[in-house]
Amino acid sequence: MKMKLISRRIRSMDELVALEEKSPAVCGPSPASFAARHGLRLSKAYVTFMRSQKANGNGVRKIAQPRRKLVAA
Amino acid sequence: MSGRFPVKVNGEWREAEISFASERDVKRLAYWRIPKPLPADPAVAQKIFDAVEFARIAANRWRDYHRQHSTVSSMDGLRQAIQEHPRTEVAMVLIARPAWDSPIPTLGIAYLRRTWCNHLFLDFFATHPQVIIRRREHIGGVGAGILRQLIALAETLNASCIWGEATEQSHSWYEEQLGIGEVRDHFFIEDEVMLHCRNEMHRAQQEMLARRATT
Repeated sequence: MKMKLISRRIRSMDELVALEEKSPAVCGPSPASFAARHGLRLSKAYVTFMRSQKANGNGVRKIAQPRRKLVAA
Repeated sequence: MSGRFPVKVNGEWREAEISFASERDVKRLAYWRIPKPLPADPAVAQKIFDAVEFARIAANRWRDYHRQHSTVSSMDGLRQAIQEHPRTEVAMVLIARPAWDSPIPTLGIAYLRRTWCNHLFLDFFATHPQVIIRRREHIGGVGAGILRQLIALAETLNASCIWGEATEQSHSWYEEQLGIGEVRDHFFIEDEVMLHCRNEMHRAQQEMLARRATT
C-alpha cells in the first residue's frame, strides 16, 4: 500500500521533537501479541500487571459472582 | 554504524549515540527495571511495563537468531553477511545511549531485521523506562531520532523500504513523524516518503553539526 505525503516541507528537529510529546514510547505490536506470535513467554511481572489492569479499583481481580438462587416465596 | 542524533534534554540540545548492540549489550537488556514508585497515570505505567517487557523479549528473540548465526552486531558484520549471502535475513538490535554525562545509561532500543530482499522490518522499538517517566531528566526526541537513524541505516544499505506494524497507540505518531496521510495497522517508508524522511534526517544532522560548531 502506497503511503502519501501530506506536505513536502522539510521540518526542523524542533518540530519533530515537539511531536514527541504524543509519542507512544513503545512502537510495535503489544508485547502479548509479539510473544504469542513467536512462542515467547511473558514475564510474571508483566502478566501480573496486565491482570491488575483488568482488576477492580481496589486491585482485586474481578471474579464472577455466583448467581443467587431464586427462592420460592 | 555509530551515528549521532540530537535530543532535547531539559530544554537544551544534546547528542545521543546509536550503535549496533553487542551480545553483552543484548544480555543487559534483561536488566531494564520498572521504576518505583510507578507513575499515577495508568497510560504511562502501561508504556513502562511494555518497554521493559520488549527489552526482555528483544533479548530472547535476538538469542534465538544468534543461535542460528543470523544476528549482526556491527555495520561491518552486516555488510559482510550481505556480501556472503545477498539474500540473507539477519536480526539486529540498535541501542541509543546518551553522549553526555547522564544518570540514564540507555535511551532506547530498536529491534529490526534485514529481510531477504534488502528491506528493513522494524519489529518494535522502545524507549527506556527512565526516559518515559522523566524523573531524572526530561529527554525529548528519542523516538524521532531512532526512527531517523533507521532511515540513515536504510540509506547506507541502499534499502528501498522500511516497514512495520502500527497499533492503535502508535499509528497517529507514525503519521505525524513521517508526514503521511493515513497509517492503519502497518506503515511503509519508501519512495517519496523515504526521500522526504531522508531530507529531514539530513537537515537534523546539519543542525546538530552547526550547534556543535557554535559551542
